[in-house]
Amino acid sequence: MSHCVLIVDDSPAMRAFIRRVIQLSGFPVDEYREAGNGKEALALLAAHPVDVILTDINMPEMNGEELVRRLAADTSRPHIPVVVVSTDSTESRVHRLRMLGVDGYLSKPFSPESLREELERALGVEDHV
Amino acid sequence: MFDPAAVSSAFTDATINVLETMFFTSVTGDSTAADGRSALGAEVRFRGTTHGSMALSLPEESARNMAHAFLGVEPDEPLPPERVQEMVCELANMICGCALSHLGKGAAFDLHVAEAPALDTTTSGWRFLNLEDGVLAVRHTVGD
Repeated sequence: MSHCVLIVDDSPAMRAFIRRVIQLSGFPVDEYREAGNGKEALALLAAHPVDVILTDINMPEMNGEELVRRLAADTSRPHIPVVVVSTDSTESRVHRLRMLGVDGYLSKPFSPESLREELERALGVEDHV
Repeated sequence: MFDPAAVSSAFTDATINVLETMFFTSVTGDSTAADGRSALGAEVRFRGTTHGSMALSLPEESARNMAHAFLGVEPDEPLPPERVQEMVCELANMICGCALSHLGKGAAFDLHVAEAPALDTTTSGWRFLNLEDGVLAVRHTVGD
């Protein structure tokens, strides 16, 4: 089954890198969508459904925590799994985001394998041996 | 609050880890100085349970090669200069965040947006690391 992935990061280079790493990982994606911050992501989601969101934390206009908070508060649409991709993997940050309901957390640097694992775990599509 | 040796080790480990994992670049050893070529740099400031900054500088050519690897672009395909600088800022951002995240349970911090100031690598506090195609200069300052 192929997926639509929304990548939220204020760095175009990082968005391109994440796309590339997803491709290297072999995770099936038939469509990528991108946003430069949480506000753009919410606007995009209002018009286009996606299967999973990969989001940075530190972004202008609306950061990743606020995006996660707004998504959790919006009960008008089905839950969209969110995986945070961040340089900050301190216990306090990870704990706070888990409490907000993120489905995965990936700290930079990351490998294609670990990115795929987080996406599969968030979507509940891990391979079972 | 943090042992200087532990901080230094965290930044060194983070530099090597980020370069290898995200930029497919290896550190081949220490050097004594920058190699004198025109360079690109970036600086990231942070605050939280500790405050300080991290800066890096590397030859433009090394930065372009790294950007090509990072973005998966063919070596002969030109990249806009702003895209290469953006990659250098992202490199600094990742090294800094990775290092601070490994300072221990008490660490909590916020990174400022990386900037691209002019950096003088002839001043004290810099460490020089050999890459396959140039010298990467890194410097960190961590307060109490």
